[in-house]
Amino acid sequence: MPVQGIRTVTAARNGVGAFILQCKRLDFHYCDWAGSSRGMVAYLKHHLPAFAKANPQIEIRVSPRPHKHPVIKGHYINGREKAVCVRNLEPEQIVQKTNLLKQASGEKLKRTKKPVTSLNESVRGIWSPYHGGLKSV
Amino acid sequence: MKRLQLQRWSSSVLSAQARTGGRLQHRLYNGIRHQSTASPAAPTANDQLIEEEPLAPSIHPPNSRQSKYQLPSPPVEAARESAKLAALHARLYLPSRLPLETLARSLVDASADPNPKFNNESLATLGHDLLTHYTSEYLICTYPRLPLTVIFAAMYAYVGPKTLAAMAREWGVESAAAPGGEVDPGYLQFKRIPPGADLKPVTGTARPHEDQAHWRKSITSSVVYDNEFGDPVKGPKNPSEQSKQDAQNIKGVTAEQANATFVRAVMGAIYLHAGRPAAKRFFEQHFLSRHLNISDLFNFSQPARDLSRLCARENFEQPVARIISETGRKSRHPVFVVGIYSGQDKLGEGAGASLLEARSRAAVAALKGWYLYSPLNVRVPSSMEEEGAAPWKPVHVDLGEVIV
Amino acid sequence: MRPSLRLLNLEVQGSRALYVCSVCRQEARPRPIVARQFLRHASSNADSLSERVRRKIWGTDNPPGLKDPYGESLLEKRFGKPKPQQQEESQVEETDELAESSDGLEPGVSYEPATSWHGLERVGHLGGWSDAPPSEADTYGSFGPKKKLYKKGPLSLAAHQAAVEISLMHALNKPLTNVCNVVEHDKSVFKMIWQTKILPNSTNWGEALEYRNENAKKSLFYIFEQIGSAQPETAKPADENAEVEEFEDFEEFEDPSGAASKQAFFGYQDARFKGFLTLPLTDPATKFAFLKRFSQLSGHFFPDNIVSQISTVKQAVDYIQGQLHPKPKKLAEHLENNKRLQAMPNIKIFSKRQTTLHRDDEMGRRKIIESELRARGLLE
Repeated sequence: MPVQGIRTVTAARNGVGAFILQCKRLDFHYCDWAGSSRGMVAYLKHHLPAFAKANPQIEIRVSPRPHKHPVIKGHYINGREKAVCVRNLEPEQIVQKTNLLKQASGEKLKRTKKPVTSLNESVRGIWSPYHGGLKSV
Repeated sequence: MKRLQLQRWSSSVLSAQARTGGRLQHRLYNGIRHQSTASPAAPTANDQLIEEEPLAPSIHPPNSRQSKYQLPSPPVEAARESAKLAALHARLYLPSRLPLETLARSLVDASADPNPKFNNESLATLGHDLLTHYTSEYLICTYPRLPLTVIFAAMYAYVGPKTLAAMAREWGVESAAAPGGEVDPGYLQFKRIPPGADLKPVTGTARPHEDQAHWRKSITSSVVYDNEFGDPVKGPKNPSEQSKQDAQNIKGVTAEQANATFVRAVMGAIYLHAGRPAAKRFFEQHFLSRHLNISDLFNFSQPARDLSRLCARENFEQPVARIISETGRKSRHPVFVVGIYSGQDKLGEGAGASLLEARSRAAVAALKGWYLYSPLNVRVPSSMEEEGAAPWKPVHVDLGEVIV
Repeated sequence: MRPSLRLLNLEVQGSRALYVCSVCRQEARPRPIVARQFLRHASSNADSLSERVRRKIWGTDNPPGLKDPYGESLLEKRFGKPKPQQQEESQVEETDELAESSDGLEPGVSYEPATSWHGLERVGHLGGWSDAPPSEADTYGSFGPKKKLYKKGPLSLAAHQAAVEISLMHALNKPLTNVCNVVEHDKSVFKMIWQTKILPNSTNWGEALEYRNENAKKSLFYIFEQIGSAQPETAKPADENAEVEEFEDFEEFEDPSGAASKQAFFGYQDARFKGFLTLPLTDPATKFAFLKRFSQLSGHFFPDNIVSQISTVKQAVDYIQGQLHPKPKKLAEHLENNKRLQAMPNIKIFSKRQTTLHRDDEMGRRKIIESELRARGLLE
């Protein structure tokens, strides 16, 4: 056998070609009775239709959770979830929280030191001491 | 070329009454390549199978809680109710001509619902053919000198089951714990292999002397007998026997297989409902856009020998290895930089801790330089299917690897 | 205070109850000690301990100062009756005496408790009441219609009719509530009312009407003149309308089957003129008459607090509309009624809390769990 093939798997590059939004599901929980859900109820009545229309790729579930503070829970493609308590928040603040959950990747928050990461090799290559103007000792 | 009647196909796939026996038949025989001498299934046999197929209940019973538990897979009406399914449709940017019902059907594996009118097997068959077709023509036209083993590996990397399963995971497709009528149609449904069961290797292939495991399998024979990735496939059987056997013991499938089948079925569904351009766009955006470094797929055992054979085949001068530079020959960490020259042309160069290592690295570099040649402005044959395509200029395809 | 004691007080103080039944009297009597304690004046005779002490202190038989230094009896104060000087008689005798002296009977008529039912006025039935023929008071006539109105069109028809009738009564200067005597008008009369226009933004009820023509005005005036003076029966105005119809020039399409009369408002769907909505209901008499007539026609009643809030006809109609279509209290109902949300496929709204059980069911895990539990005998 002169040459064998090595089996690997192609690596995903989200956004090269198609972009898959990482937030796949948002759960909205509210309480019909409690006052801390007042802003949440107003958000669900007035802001949610526009949000759902703008983001059809997010599955949205609205369900009551009596005697609890209102919560928005985001489920992500990597299997993690992120929950934000929105008690006593105004609808406009909840809009911000929803956008935060929508744009999150689902990963744990970490500091990025390099602004760009790439799978491709550097075009310039690595410097080699054995090429170019060799100095004889 | 006669244009295909896509609409007619899609209607036949969508309707529950459609007879998919013919496509199933195709699935059973798709292991046979056209180069092989085995005769493809006779059309009369096909018709006979359709007649023999027992008439399954064409319409699921009415939608009540008890009856839902009786169903093997969610009813067709449930697709419109599922928010998960609609979100998945939007997340993949699927064309609106592809209805949610078909997407729901592509999520039902044959192990969940053995009825071919409700599972994704026919769609997956079509999708698999499309995927392998587009990938292979892309690979061969882009890298015309690739050895066949590397082509197999690259095909596996692009559209192999492992990749497709990873894609389904990256699309956010979740698997149901068990298939059933009450399950949300947005979940991938398949019957799982019970834990502890051993996965037997494929037996019953068309390859002669299959039982002689220690016999050498040539690449040429794997072109004939194996599938697109160089893996053994089940050979053809008597169709009626096969379907009976399938119905009797529906074994589970692994999650990887089920996910891969789903992705193939989505591809087939797009082709049927939205047409070829949409399918090609989907292929480019989701499959070809993934990253694969093909130069990592090579595994040479004796690169220097291969290179000398290659030079002999191509009527180059015999390759000669020469030291370009070196340092610390007597030290603990010597470094030799060796170049391989054919006459005045440097074919490749490599650095190593010994002269032999450096020479073989240089030979590998030279071989990769040969095999990874890629012409500019690659066109694939399927681009001729579009309207108003430029006249076809034959692409250069090399002989492939050297025979040692 | 216990009921028996209360009864006793009345007995002691003499009273308004002319007759106390023997059972009650017996029940009250056997507590003389309690009564003694309670009625201190019963013991405040000359021979009481305090009186003897006072006499001893002052050294005379008639000591100065209050006769009872501890104050007058509370009961005496309340009723302000002179205490009988001699209290040697028994309490029963005292009671009888008081009852006779202070009752409301005419002088000369003495009250004697009866010992048997002979000679007493007969009240009610002594069995066999179902055999008695129905009297005049037994027949029941409903005030309102048998069916309530639920749709918007009939409601505005009712309001329009009520407004026109009250305006007519205003114009005729007759008692406004008389219109309620006629539960349902004849079809021709109703048609005339329907065709009568109420001028929008008119404040005076008497001048708000604009009739279709002079004939209609005359006939309406004639009919409503009758209503006030006529007997309050439904059939009568209809009979009188028959002669009115003779000089009417309206085209009449009589429905021989009578199916139309079965429907409310003879099959009319909505009021023709909406001017009645702006009529004011500031005058209490008009408001009362209108609301009474409107509730009679529509079958919906107005609570007092709402009546005090209503100031125009529109508010009255809106109130009933609001009663019929209450706003959803739960957010889930509100969202489910939202057309925009319904059109979006990626939204799912649940009215109940979602638990792991729902999730298991959705993923198909529930049937596995249940079958395993059954296999272990933990679930039947």
